[in-house]
Amino acid sequence: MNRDEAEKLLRRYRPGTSDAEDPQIAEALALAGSDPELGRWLAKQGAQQDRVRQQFRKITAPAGLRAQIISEHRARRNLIFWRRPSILLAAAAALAVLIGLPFWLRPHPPEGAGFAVYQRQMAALALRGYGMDVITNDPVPIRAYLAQNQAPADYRLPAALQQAGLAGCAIENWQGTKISMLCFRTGRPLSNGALSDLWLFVIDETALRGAPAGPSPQFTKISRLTAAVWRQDGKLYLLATTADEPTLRRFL
Amino acid sequence: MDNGRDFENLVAEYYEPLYQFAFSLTREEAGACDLVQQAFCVWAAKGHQLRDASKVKTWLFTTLHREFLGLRRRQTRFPHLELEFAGAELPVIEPVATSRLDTDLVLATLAALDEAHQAPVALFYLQDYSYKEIAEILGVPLGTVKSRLARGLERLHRLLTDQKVPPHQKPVSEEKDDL
Repeated sequence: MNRDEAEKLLRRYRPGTSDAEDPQIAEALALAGSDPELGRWLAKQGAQQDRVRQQFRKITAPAGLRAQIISEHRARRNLIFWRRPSILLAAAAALAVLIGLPFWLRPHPPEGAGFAVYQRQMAALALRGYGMDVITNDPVPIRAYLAQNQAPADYRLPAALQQAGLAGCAIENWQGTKISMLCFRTGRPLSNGALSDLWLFVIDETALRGAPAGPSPQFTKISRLTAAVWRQDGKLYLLATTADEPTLRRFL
Repeated sequence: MDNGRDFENLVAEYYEPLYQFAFSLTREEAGACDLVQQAFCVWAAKGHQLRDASKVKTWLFTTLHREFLGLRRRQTRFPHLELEFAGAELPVIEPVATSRLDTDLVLATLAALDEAHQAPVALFYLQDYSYKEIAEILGVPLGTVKSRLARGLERLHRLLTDQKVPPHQKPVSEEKDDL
């Protein structure tokens, strides 16, 4: 290594740092130790470097930069906090609870009262009037209509009821569950404007609590109606009429 | 690591050296502040990916330098207005303190170097980083750092000795680096 090569290397030498561990610089330093002229150049070079370094290190950050970085970070964190998926999920859950709260807090009928309410509502429907969606004595289009509208259509009629005069059907609703309402005639004289006097309500049995169990009809009075209730194949049947119980039994 | 307290400690420890590096590259306070802020912003978003905690400082310097390079690329695509056309939009700047004049001269001289030499020379003086650390920060091979430092420092000292560096002198084009 000659002096020029050593000078070139020693330009990037900083005393007191790990620079001296660089083998080339170590060799150049050794040469400077044995070459007085190179040693003087190195001393001068070191002094100049110190002056330049001091100028670089006079650079100071403006007052307030640190506080500004931290405050902006806090603001961003708060924003991000609200955008976290877990927070959004929790907020959505809280909202759902708030919306659902009135539903859950509403007075619930006691266990077993569900069926009683259902009976009363169906009786009121039959007595106060209703509109038939399909008016026909043909059972085929009635089943098709009910099936098409996702109401119970795979019902089984007692053999005697199949002989009753069919008048039509309607789809009703019980707490979100569809009910198939089939309208028949007993053959007795109908009151003015009436199209039927015998009604069969079919509903999925899981939609009702407290309904009588079993396939054998159980008779009851609902308001001015006589009714029979039974279960079959997962469905609850309610057959009601304005006639008396013996008349009703003729259709079961 | 990105909980509030750790972040504030990190800022307290590194914002000053980062600012020195940023200012030596931009020679402009607002731009330097933006770079430092952006480096910490990137840290807040991605710092958790850094597995070696001892590399935080290097990571921040690397990020700041990348942001600087990105900024400069954008400025190249959208060149700034000449001063005479933008004078009315410029902020009022307080007169520079006398003690800063030498620093200004040194930084103006740094800006006169080839662009590739400016960052290694700044890091060389500012942080006493080892050559290996400078290579990591700048993402270049160790040999490249050594050759860039040798050339950059030689030219810087020659220009400072001559003191003929105008503040906006164009960088001197130099020969290719030794790898």
